[in-house]
Amino acid sequence: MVKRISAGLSGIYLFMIMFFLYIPILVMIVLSFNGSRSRVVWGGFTTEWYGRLFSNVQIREALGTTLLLAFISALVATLIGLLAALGISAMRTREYSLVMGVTNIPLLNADIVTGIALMLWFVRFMPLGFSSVLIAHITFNIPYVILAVLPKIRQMNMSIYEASRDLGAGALYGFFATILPQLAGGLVSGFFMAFTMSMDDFVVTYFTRGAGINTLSTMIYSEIKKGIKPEMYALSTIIFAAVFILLLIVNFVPDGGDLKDLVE
Amino acid sequence: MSEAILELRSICKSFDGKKVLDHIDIEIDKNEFITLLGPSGCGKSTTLRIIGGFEYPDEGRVFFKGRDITDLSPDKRNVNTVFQKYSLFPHYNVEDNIAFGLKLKKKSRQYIKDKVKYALKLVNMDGYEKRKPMSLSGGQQQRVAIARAIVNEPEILLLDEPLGALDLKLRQEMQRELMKIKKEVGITFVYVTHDQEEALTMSDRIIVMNQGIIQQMGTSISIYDEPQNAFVADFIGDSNIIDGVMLKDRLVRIFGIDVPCVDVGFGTNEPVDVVIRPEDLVIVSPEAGYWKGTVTDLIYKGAYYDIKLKTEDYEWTIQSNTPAAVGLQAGLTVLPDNIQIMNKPRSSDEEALKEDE
Repeated sequence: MVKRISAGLSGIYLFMIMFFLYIPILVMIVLSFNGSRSRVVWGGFTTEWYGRLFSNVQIREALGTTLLLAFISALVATLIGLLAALGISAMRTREYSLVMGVTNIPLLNADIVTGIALMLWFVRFMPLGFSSVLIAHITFNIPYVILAVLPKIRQMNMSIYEASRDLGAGALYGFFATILPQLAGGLVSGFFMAFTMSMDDFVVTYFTRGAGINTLSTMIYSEIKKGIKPEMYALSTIIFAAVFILLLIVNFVPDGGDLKDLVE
Repeated sequence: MSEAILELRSICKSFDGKKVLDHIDIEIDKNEFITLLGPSGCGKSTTLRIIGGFEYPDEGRVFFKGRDITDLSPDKRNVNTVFQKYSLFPHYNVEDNIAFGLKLKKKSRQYIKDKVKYALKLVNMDGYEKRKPMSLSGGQQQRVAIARAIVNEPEILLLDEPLGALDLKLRQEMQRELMKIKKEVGITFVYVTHDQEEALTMSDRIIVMNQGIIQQMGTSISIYDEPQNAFVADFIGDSNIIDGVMLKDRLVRIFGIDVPCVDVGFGTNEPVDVVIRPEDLVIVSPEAGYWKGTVTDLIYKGAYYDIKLKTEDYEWTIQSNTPAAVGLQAGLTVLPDNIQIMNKPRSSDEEALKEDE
């Protein structure tokens, strides 16, 4: 009896997740192939919206900016975050909690506050544009990398590094041969988290971008003012597919065996 | 002086204000098997890490063949370490693990191949070249770790509790193999352990440490037979450690009984610590012994019986080949040779060492 109830409940739970999380995405994907502009009437299969999307120079530019921004900011944040995490992990308890508190501020802070604050700061020193957005993205990405890497540092087997030094490796070679592989899992997930956060961001970008710089989110925002076009469904579908494929790659890298051994 | 391959001079080290090593002086001779023995936290591993270059001493210097190497990093020292947790590189196979040091030294491919083969044979692991460390048992991993260290032909091999994680049978087997390897490669071994049996079995010389101080240095036999203080006596093997009064040369009073012994030079009416090893006590009839009491416990240990005998003042531990029934009234006697007299600790520091156990 109890079994049946719990089976029923987990069924309902699963259904709710499907209903609220995946069905909307599915609907959006279906609509992106809908021949009719209507959101309720199926007008036959078409790839017209995708065609229009790719012929739209503005959108192509925004996509390029978004990807470039996400890639560079994630890369730089990963580098800085790694060094920061190594430094933080070596601190004593009091300094550690102090610095971690400061690190978490950008995470807990309302985006709009971060955005306005950065904007005010940037206009004093530089023209707003791609580089100001990039610096802003790097800034809010660093904490994600630190949070992803720190636990790996804590689990790290330091004696492997010592073994490499013992066998004649210099400090730098030892680091690349033993410490970096152990942190690879954290770095990869930190990088992708930062990448996603950068792609996701609207508010900070909106305040720190200059005229003429558009990412997909600011672009969609200004498009929506004119009404939602089916091209936007197509665009969102592409983004969803890209993220989905990225996730699959991370989870099923063919010879990720080494990496996973280390992560474990 | 010139014989010594390694010399630690007055080494001090503190962690977070806590003194771990307090003016340690050690000289290690070429080709010696020397063991640093002591309970956890006694400073033995720190000493080893200072030799290896992983810790920097607060005070004191380290000399290698007369040259000051205190400021050299681990990769610049002709010393290799076998770590407690094996510390094999998990992403390399056995062959690449062993070749790591040789590749860094830019040795030829053929040389590396031959060396790896030789090292694997030495530790009885031939045929395991392509295996990943994770797929090996603890004992096998430790063999690979030993092979990885000795292919570099270090002049000193440091071993940090290398057998600590293995079960008893395997440990004994590995002890024998370590001695064999030592003989074959002919290098100096500095071994750290908390296992007194391991130390007694393998070492040419043992350094007993506690609370950052060297308690005693000497051969296995001298450490076991002539412990210099109560800590060493208690730590090495089981012991009956009792208060006594040295009445005069060759006569000690233990629990009101005057017992002949062989020790001289302690003065007259001097309070001392007396050590009697359990295997040196003999159970006799109540009238024939120095002390009388009742047998309270009897445990069969395989090679001998472990017997507890309670007298008025003390519960004695006795090891005997013949059992004694619990409840039996019996006497205890001991030969003068088998009584070891030690000075009482002079300072509160030394006293603390004793209580620490």
